[in-house]
Amino acid sequence: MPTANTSTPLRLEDPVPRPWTREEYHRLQIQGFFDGQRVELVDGEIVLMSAQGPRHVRAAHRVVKALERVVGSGFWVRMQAPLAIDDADEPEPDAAIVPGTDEDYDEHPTSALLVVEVSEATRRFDLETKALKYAGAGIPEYWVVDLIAGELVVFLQPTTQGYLDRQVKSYNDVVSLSQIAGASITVAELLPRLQRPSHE
Amino acid sequence: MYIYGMATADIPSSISAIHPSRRLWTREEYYRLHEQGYFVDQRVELIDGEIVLMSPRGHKHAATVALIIEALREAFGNGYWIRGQESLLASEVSVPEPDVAVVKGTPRTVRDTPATALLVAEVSISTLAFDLGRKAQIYAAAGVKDYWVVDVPGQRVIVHRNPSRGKYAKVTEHLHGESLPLVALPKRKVKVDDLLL
Repeated sequence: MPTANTSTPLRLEDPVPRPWTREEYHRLQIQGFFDGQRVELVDGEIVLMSAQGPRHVRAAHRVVKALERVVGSGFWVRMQAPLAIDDADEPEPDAAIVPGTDEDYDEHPTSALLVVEVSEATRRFDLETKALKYAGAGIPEYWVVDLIAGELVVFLQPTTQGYLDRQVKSYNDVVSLSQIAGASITVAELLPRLQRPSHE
Repeated sequence: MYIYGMATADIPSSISAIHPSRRLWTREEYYRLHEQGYFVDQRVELIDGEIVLMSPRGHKHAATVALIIEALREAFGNGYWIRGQESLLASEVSVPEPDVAVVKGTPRTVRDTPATALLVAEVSISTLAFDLGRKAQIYAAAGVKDYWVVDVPGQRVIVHRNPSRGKYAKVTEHLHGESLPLVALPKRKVKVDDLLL
């Protein structure tokens, strides 16, 4: 499958990609067009999710484990599962907390109490495009676990223009979940342990 | 070795600038999507694996296409099919719909959607950069030896010749009063005046 980099800004005269709706996206999935592919629907465009490196996998696993431990029962921590946020967007964040259990969901949830993306190669996309998306969908809290900087970026107070509050938490900081009383996590718990120093 | 807290300035820009790639489509998938009815009432083309909407056509566009078809029919004569806005199976990932394409044969003798053409013409009203850029690459790669871009606002015809390795080696501009010989039939010519309104 060939790929195109979408980071080049569209020139005025460039043709417009044919946008897809969420309903069509689901039909395409059922018809097998994405078999063996990891895709997301972002702004009506079907995009390939970048291959996950080992650090990304480890971090996503740690995030889910840590969240499950602190939220207790009554919440479902979804891992890399679709969120049906609007007609042209169905992202698959690395983690999302929704109220209730899996039995409460016959359809993909349309919102979440907290969304988490683990960011390595897609850092700017997660900090900019995705933040705008999740804020627009009214998701009250959004975290980007930044593996490059080794920190956690916490976004709060969603508006249609983006999140009003953006805080950077470093390795030893403790973060409280705004939507779940009493739940807090140390940033260090979310980050895969550093490589052991090599002995030469 | 990887260090948390590495200064942002140390991160190669190629890493922080990566955006996700579009999921691209093959020609075979593109036809399956057509059959499944995804493009009913939509005019689309497959360009380098991307499904793009074709811009709406106005009167000037339609009239210029009609002029080109008329001029080419006269120049080529019998035994050639002057196709208007039909698909060309240019590659595994591109199925453009050129405004005009000339193929040898007749509707009865041509067996399948052609993969190339003796001549392709595109009418440019607002798509000049696209027609001179990506479209030219696609037609060159498909071995179209004569590619004309009829630039309506610019009142000129930009002729592309000698395709080689996905590029045209010779690109020339022609204005009112000039004549364009056909690569396929070098003795026959088309007047620029006959192609423009």
